[in-house]
Amino acid sequence: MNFQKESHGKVDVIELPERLSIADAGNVKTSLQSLVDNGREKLVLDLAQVSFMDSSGLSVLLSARKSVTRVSGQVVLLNPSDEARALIELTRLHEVFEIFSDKQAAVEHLS
Amino acid sequence: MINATTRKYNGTLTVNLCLEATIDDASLLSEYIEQLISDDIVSPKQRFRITVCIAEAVNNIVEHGEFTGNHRPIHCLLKRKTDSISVRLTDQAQAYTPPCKTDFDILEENGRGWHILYNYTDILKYHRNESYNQLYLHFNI
Repeated sequence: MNFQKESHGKVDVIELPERLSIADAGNVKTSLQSLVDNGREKLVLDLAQVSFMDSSGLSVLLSARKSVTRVSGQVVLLNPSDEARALIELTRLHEVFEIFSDKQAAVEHLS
Repeated sequence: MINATTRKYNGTLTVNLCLEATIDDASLLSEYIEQLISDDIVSPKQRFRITVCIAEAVNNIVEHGEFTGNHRPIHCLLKRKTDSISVRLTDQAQAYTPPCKTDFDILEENGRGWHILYNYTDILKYHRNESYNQLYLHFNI
């Protein structure tokens, strides 16, 4: 899976796809893992385009966190929709991830 | 591949859908339902909740009930009235017992599906017959 990716020094901003469903989750996890395997350890996961996300999508976020934590990296979330943010809060992922609404602030946090 | 028949009678829209218990069809179903309820009457928040719940329910069947690789059909009967949307999912996969509690480890990748279902539905009922599971989801709109 090809992401829209912006690099800001050691920080990568990854634009996640419109749908994070059971059919998409595996590919997205693999792609994020390969980024980490290639030495990119500070990730901003941009959820602005994500209009649908179920628990498979949430598992993508946690899988990315697990990958970067293993190499002492960090991951934060950017711009979830109101609905996605409500799902994140319902499933208590806001206790695990910092969530930003401003890209620059997210990048600076990880820099 | 999803087969659908649609009927409208006395203000109730009835949509009968049949899909295979596969990851691809599970994903297609949530997209289909999302389009079906994309109008000004169902708020974006409620549309998201309904679509996510149907996805969670079907994902459970595909991942846990049909883990042996059988792709037996799942029937989805959606009824839309002026103030509610209900969905009855019928499958022939293994019987299961919906959990009473939905505790989960916040760092675990899995285990949130039932928590979402309980919180986003107004009514959630499970029934097991000799050969099929039936899950009923009801949403006020």
